[in-house]
Amino acid sequence: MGDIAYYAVFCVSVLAASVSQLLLKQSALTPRESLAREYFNFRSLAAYALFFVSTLLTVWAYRGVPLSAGAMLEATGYVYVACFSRFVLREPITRRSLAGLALILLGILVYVA
Amino acid sequence: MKKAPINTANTKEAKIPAANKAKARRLAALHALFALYSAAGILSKLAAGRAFMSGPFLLFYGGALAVLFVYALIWQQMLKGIALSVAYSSKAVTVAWGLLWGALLFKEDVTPKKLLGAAMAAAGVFCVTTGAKAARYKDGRNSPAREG
Repeated sequence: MGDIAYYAVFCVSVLAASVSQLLLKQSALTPRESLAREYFNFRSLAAYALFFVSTLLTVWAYRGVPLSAGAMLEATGYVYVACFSRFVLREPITRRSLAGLALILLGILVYVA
Repeated sequence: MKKAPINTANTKEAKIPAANKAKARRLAALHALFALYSAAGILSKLAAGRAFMSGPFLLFYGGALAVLFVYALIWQQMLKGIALSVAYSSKAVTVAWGLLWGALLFKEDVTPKKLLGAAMAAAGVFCVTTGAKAARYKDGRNSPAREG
């Protein structure tokens, strides 16, 4: 199964990308006075910086993670986003979505175990 | 004077294949976009095999960033013509791309256990993304018609 640290870093990189998405979403929900302000505000800039860090972490993690596993690990993003939606944005979550999240995690376990 | 009856059935029938064709084209474009997205993984993996900040590293890493940038631009445009739930649930296919490129380009072994895990994860992505659609309808903020 290779080095678990590389897998962990990959998951952190996906988490960083997901937080970046959340920041962009929050930024998009805030009305701005100009187009320039829509890009140059704290949340947007932090989101882009975080996304950049995420890509560097991904490349580092790929030293120990096979490409085929990477594509699957990216699916953990759905788990993070679901947690943000539920607990930060207070959006409802369906049973179907919950089952899907469980399937993603189980699938990854089956793959790496 | 009697007006000639308008044959609505015929015009409707003529419209449906045209609409289906346009839909099929958009879906094909979406899948071409996911194939492009899978290239970012290949380039990242190639960069990972090179010394940090070396010439080849910068080439591959820069390539991966460029692919992600182009992908994001096209994705945003594509969402105008495709329902969000369809677009997101189709993204499950990227798991298959990863398996394919891993096996073909990086000689990664594909075992039945790995295939099963990947299929489960892809099915999971499909459920999550289509489940989110159901939540939006229940919420009453969106109607299925708007998702068309």
